[in-house]
Amino acid sequence: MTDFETFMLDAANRPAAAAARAVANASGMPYAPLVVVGPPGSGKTELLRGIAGLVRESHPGAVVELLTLDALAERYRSALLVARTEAFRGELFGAELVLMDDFERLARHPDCQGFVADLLDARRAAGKEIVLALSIAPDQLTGLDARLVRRLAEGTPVQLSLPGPEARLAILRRRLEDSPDALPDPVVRAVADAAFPSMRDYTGAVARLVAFQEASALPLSATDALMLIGAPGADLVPASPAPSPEIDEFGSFLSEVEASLSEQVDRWRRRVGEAVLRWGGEGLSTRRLEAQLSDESPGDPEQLLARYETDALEIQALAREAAELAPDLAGAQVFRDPDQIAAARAIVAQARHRSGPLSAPLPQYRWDDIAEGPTTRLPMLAARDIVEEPGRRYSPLIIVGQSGTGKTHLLHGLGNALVGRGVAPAACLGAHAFAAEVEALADPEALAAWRLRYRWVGALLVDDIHLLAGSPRAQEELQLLVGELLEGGRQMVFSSVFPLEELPGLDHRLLGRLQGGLVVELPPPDREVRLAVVKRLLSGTAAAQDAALADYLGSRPADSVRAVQGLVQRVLGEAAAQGVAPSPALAREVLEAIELGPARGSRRSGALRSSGILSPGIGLVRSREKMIDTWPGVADRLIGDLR
Amino acid sequence: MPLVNFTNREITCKLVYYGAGRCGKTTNLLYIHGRVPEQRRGNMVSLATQSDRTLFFDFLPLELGMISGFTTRFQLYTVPGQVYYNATRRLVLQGADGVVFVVDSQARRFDDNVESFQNLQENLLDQGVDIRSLPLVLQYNKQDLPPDLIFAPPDLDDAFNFRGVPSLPADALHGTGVFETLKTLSGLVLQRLAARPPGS
Repeated sequence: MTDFETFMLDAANRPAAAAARAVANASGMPYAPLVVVGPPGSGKTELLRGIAGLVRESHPGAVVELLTLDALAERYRSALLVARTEAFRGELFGAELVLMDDFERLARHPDCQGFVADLLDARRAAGKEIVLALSIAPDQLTGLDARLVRRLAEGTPVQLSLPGPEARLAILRRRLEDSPDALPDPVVRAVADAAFPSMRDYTGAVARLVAFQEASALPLSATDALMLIGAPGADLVPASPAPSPEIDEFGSFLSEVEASLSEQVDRWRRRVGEAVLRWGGEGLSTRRLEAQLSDESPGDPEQLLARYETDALEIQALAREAAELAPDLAGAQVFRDPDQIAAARAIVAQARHRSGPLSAPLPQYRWDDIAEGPTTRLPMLAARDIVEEPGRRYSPLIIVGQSGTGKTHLLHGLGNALVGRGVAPAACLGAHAFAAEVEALADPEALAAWRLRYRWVGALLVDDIHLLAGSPRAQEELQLLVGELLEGGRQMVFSSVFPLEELPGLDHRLLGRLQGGLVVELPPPDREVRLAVVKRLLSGTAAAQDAALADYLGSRPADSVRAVQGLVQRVLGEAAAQGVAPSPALAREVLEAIELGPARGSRRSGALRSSGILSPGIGLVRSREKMIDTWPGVADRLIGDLR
Repeated sequence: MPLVNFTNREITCKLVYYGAGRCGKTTNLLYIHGRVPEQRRGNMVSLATQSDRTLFFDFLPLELGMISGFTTRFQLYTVPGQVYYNATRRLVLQGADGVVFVVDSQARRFDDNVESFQNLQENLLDQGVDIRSLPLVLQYNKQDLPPDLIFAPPDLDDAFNFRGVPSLPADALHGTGVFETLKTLSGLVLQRLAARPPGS
């Protein structure tokens, strides 16, 4: 039987024993400090030794300082004399556990009080435990400085009373563990049953009897032993004839039944105690079990244990699931307390919601493929900062640029880079999709679930935000979401064709939120950007190494990346159609022939969509339907126009 | 019958005194009844014939009070020993938490004892109870009779106690061994509390 189990034998001492075990197991929050209060001889020293022993046993390398206040004062003064106070301070501040006995004696050592107060503060700040044993209640202590009184009042007091006969017997037997035959067991039991005022009297009596027995040839009887030690209960030993048989027989029967029944109940208590140790060791709160131990009329322990075990296993499973769903939830206190199973379930349910599939950045828009030129330095600088420190530098980032300037590529590429940096989940979607999601939310429950999903995103990236103009509800939700994500320090990126101040139909509150971010303009691609895009498009083709072709294509005027893509595709398509390798000559032939188009009499050149190629007045698509200028008659042209 | 009821915080133990007719079962109960303080005992119900043989059964409830937070009561029953009351014996035996098998130590009653002991095992088996799993104490009653009329406890152990259960000599009429028997059986029954599923 361990020291703690000894104390567990007494209902009154179980809370103290449970707290002591919690300290020894370093489970739960530090008591900071744990204050054990008990009259002299109630076993406080025994309890402190038990804690120290258990810690040393479970953590062989741990430094445990167990000392009386007088010893501490002596060491402190010695350290002062040899100028080693800092070293002494370091020893006590750094120890895994400090246990101070006879703490009330600090009043006799006023010179040490400041040091002890500092020690309490430092250990508390470091989350390290300290246990103080006192023989009088902290509020009745006199002669302590105010800081110490306050620290004691902030601690957790537990009461320890003189152990009962069973606990005393266990303690005395443990004292005799090294020499089990030193005294006959009935003698030990008789001493334990005697009525001494303190535990010290019991251990002292046993020591005296051991000495007497060693000198005596005959084994001691219980009666002799009690007479020898002058036990207060000695005169109660029956020397007179037994009481009348009627009372005696039934009384004896009754006491046996009581003993048997108590043993069974205590056996359950031991089981509960074992469960406290087991689950406490696994880091779970065992408050429910400990409450049972301190209850004089406990409920069904089997049911309690079964229910606790069920809850404990479920909460462990929930903790594992939560850690997988959302690493930020791992280690949350709620997953260590089976009494909070409902809250844990709710949190995991939320985590499941929020981990629902969100629209992810499109993989084809790779961060590494984004071309950079002199005119895009600023937006790229901001983007790189965001990837480096998501949510901290520029959130939200607003990318403004004409159609085809690469906003979508930058937005999704940024999203992919953030995911690559571990920002998860990243919701990346177009404004029309965002609006459609919001418009589809039919009832408050669906709306709440939708909000929950987005509230937990690591990053939110919305493309073409100007398209929200027609959806006030989506604007409202986005405005709320932006507010929440800003508070959560999450990264947001939006793109728009129009500058913010020119955004039509957008709620002023949403605009206000967005204007708090960084607005960068993505201009039409400069030559460097165009060249980079061309090289990327040509890579993997027969012309991948043709620098002259790339140079020629990159030098062609184009107002958007999309237009550059059109140029390259056109040349590659023509080369494929002719069965020749793409070359500068072919490119020149294809593209400049198109530019010469107006000279051949295209009627509607100005009105046609140019796809960004800066060659006003040309027909761009080599569709037979559009090539009406080659048709012979006016009627045919008219038909073509009508189409 | 629930042995431990955590909802009502009650422990109820049903102990049955079994044995051949006129072996001293009722005498055991009468002695106990006489030694139990009045506030602790209920009325002893005893349905007897004119020849003092138990016709139905004896019933003695004992209120032991609050022990370890449980209201504890023992219910002591005897069965009619006569062979033709087997249905009553089965009824009384139902739900028994422990059995005292009272052996009439007289040599001339040896066969009756054997027959009753076999009947006990049969009746338990009928109820799906293995006698090996039930707390059982053998009481060798009437040990106060002249030695030439009775078997000594070791001889009776040889005959009945092949399972090594506790056995005690007794003189129920004068009370010798009566409470010892009850204590021994109670101890065995209570030891099983922890092993039994609660609420059962």
